[in-house]
Amino acid sequence: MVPLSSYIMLSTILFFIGLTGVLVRRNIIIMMVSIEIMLNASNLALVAFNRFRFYNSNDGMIFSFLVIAIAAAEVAVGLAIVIAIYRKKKTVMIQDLSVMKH
Amino acid sequence: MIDNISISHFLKEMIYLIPLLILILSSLVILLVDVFSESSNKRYLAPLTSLFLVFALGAVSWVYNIVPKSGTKILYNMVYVDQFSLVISGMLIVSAIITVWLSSDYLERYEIAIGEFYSLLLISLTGMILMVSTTNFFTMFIALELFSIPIYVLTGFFRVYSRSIESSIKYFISGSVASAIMLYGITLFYGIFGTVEFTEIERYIYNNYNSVAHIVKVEPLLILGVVLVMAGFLFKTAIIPFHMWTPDVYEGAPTTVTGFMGFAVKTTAFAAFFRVVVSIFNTPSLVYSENGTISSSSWVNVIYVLIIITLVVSNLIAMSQRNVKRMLAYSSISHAAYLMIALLTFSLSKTKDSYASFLFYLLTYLFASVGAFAVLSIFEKSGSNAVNLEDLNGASKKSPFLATSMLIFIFSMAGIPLFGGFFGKFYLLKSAFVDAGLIALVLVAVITSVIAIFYYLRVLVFMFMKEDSSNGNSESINIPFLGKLAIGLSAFMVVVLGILPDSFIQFMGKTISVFFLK
Repeated sequence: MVPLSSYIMLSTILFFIGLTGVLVRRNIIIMMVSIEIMLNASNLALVAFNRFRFYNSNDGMIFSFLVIAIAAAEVAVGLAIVIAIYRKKKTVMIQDLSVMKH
Repeated sequence: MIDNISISHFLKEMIYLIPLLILILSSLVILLVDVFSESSNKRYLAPLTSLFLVFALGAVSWVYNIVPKSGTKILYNMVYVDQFSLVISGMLIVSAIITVWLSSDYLERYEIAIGEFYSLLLISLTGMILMVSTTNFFTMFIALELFSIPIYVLTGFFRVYSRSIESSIKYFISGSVASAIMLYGITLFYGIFGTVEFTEIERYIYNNYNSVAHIVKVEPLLILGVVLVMAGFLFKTAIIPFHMWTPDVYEGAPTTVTGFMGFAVKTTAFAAFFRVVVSIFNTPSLVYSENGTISSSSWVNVIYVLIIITLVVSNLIAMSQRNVKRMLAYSSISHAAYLMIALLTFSLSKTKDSYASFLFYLLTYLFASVGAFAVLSIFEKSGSNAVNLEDLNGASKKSPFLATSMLIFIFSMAGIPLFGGFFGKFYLLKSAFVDAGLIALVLVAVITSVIAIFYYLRVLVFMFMKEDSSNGNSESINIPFLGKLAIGLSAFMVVVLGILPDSFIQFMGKTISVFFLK
């Protein structure tokens, strides 16, 4: 059987892949995908912790369902904003959005 | 089978949730009324929304009187209502009422007067109130998303203007990353303790570890969890270096939304962070090393350094801003640093004074900040969605009412004596100095607040001393009735807070519950 540590290691790697993706990539759609990877890393860890350490209750698994629902709501709003941007600017690259100076 | 006892128990619990129920139902009612109303005139939506909000405020004050002093845990420990959460809820609802009064005319000027605005505002407010009344990380995360997602939409509400949608996507990306980071921290807490209840986590840490060094050796994931959760909160409260989104979002968002966001999001994040700090982070083994001094790798030192950086940097950058909304964004970052001082003071000293000064500062910040953005929303020229200092030229001639109100708000934020903001800063710094002995921090705060007076007063120079040279004829500005009411109320409250600070401080001190004192 795969031990808990492997799951947690995979989840950590996924989390940092997602974080790096958000910081490095410039395409808004890819950045949103990276955020999804971060959320799913948490889901994996929640379910693994629940299965291996706290198997008397289902808290972690139930919460991972809630996180999935929240992620769906977030993406729905995010894609709507991206569509509004594409209509206005014909681009989805974050570096082209610089009306406000720093 | 559900027996009678559990139903009556359920109903008894529901009493404490009445404010939340009113808000969530009224958001649905507003949507339905908007859909089924025949006329294209939506003017009645703002009074209707504010009526619901006044009901919710009444419910909050009613629940305030019946809630036990020690607070009450309901819905299987998922929600925790005490006087602290109700006071914060009251402030949030007041800020929403002022925002709704202003928005009606503001949205009409931009020809985007639709009912979704009010509905989203109410949903967001529901999430905020839920977030301040919980001691459970799962509920807290859901509430965080419940109030963040509508705010992303409200920020991009003027979807035909580049600024608005740009600020929306920037807020969306950075906000989502922050919540994902916080979620990973929560996951680690769950993995270590098997529970996400603040008090149970605290008990576990208290019983099993004896110093920071011990935790690093035995359970390093706990340190990582603390860091990740703290990063999420610092982001929402916009402490430097997690502030990057603030200026752009504040500038680009519709001005009434900026006013709401500037107060409500920050307050909610601070109130929830307050609970987390008091219950979990403040456990002795997370703060102190074995010999009883504050450990060098403790979160206290991190916050201490970040407060100093925030105070210095935000005030220096604010001086070079020409756009008033952007300037107020940096000023809101410096206000966040003050609130963080109060939080640090309370966690180190646990005195009632520092607790009361935290709530009193929030109250003064409410009326000053929402009021200042309200004045700007009226000055804003349609289509630009930006207010530069030059746009305020000759404001005192065009509208003495607006200029005087702005003077009151600016004086309050700058901390000029005899206005609410002065006493907010005074009590807060006095408590930090006397109770916690944070002398260096108080010194930096005083020096930077002197620097801040420069850029605050510059706004008034443009309003009172410069003539409007652009078109020559200085026609008076037409202020709608509800807008006048909102600005007048805010200015009145700032003055009252400056005249009678003691009674408010005493009231705030009384709301402290067992949760904070244990």
